[in-house]
Amino acid sequence: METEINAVFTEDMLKTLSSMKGKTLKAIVGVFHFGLTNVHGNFRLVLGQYAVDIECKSFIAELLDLDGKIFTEDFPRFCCQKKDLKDKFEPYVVSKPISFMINEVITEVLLIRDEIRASNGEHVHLDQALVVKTTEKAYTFSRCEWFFSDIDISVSDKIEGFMPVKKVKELWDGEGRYSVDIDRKFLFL
Amino acid sequence: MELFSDLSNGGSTVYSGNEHGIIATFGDKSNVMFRPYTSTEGSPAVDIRITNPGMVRGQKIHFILSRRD
Repeated sequence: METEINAVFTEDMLKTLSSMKGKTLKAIVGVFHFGLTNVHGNFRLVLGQYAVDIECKSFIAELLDLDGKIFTEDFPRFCCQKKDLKDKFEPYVVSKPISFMINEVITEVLLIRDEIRASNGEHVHLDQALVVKTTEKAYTFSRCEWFFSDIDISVSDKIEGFMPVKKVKELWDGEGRYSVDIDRKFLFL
Repeated sequence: MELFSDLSNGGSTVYSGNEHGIIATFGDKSNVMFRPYTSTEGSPAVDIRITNPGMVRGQKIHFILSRRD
């Protein structure tokens, strides 16, 4: 038995993300934990003329149990939506969002995308992280465990803070039962 | 809910309106989430994220009601 899971941005979403290049990243809005290092579920990138809401939204995926039978499970994946600046931001968690002011021009937008093949038959396409590079910094928005909607945020001179391949393997090897191959790509939008 | 109550002890809690759940967050960014409704009907879940795992891995635990005939 085999299953295929597509937990990646759609083509339309990639166009929205790509359109951010050359725009000024005015602010990042969300309900953050530990400063600007972690957010649960969603956040907003405020640009000059519009905003882009980024979300780690659950869909129902088919996985394989230890007997090789298919079962369904909630599987959060990155999504994004272009928003008018007048649209209210609705955070996942019931708390007041705050804005981190940035005011830097976006020079590059890229994704860290994994193709995971486990020997039990699970084949997963997964966007692990979204990176927004500006004239000053690299903002890395990274998935954590596949079943969590948390997004870790790293702000640095270089791209960092995303899940290493070794940890991705650990999450898909069925506690050592399966071999796992991971093909990691950096996709420049 | 009992498991969540035990595991969330010492964490700060917030409600997730979108997921109708409760999240307890700890100082090292580990967290525990209770979701009363999931895609598996009648099966609430507790999701555990551990940032410095050591001997313990992150887990997703579903609870299924068993009936005695």
